[in-house]
Amino acid sequence: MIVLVTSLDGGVGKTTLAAAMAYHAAVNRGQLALLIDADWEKAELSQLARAEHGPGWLSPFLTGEEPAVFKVRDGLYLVPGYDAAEAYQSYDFQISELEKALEAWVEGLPAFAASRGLPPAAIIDTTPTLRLSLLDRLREKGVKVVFVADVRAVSRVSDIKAEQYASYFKLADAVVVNYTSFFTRNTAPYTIRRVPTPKDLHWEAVAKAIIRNRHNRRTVEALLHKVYPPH
Amino acid sequence: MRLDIKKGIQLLTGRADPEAGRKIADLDAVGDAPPQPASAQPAAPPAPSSALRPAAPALAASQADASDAPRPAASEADWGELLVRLLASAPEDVAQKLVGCLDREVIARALERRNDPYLKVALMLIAKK
Repeated sequence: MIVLVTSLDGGVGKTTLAAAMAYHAAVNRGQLALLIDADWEKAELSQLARAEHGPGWLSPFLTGEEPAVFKVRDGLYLVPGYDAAEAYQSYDFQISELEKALEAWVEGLPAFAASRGLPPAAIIDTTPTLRLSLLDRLREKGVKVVFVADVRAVSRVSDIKAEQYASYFKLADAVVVNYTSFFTRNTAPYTIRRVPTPKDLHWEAVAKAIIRNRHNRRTVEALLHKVYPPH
Repeated sequence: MRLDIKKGIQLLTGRADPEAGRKIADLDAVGDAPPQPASAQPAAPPAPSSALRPAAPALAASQADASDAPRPAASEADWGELLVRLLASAPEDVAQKLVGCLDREVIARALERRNDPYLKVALMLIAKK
């Protein structure tokens, strides 16, 4: 079981939601999970988890190195993404190469997890604007797509934007609207409300801050129930 | 730059490295939850591996600067080694402040760990002062 968290626009809260889902799954539902930081633009989840700098999810394909796996909590593990973020900045990659590597992870995950005593389920944090064709292929492989948006999704910046959002909505198994304002509360199925930013920007503190809000907790619970049922 | 997808899949599926499962570092060890080993992890502490190497990006080899002298792995480096490295690599004003804050004995003990005739003479000079 693999959940992929993605978006069209940047800064909508993908990483925060991925962290909150993983935290809630592991701590409150007893579901083990492997977090994969496949955000090749920033690798923010790796930073929030204070993962050591080193080989991550892209290294098997880039340098032939074993990816590092960090235990970030009981039942929760992280494969960092520093290598991909550095490669993305340093080399002239074709996006299709990174997409192939991500698809390979989806295919190889059961064997990878089994051979290393890791959970057979994963939550993958990604970069914005993954191509629709990739999402389509990943869904065919059984990946559940959680699409995260903010008010831009319903503000109709332009017809083009609206069409883009509509295309992603069609492919998503769940749509989460972040930073809800009065006009999105009743239109989006899953909404996450703003919470005070924790002093310590550690993944767990961020996840706890989200879950502490009763509305958000219900949202994450319902979301997990839909895309991440107990394995 | 092309990725080797075939090789990557071989590595992910465990055919390339049967010892891979041992390389799981615990970032939670200092957190609020009691540390537990991974379900299939052996009780023995994990051997130093590429996965545990501090601050060494996977791409660093191609971008290494001139200062890539061999460094001891974190597990090999004791506190004295780390202290000396910190003081030597810090900006001079910061290093001076740090030295000013540290107990003279502590610095002397750190230096005594290295069996070096020059250091011994330097220590004798410090002791003489």
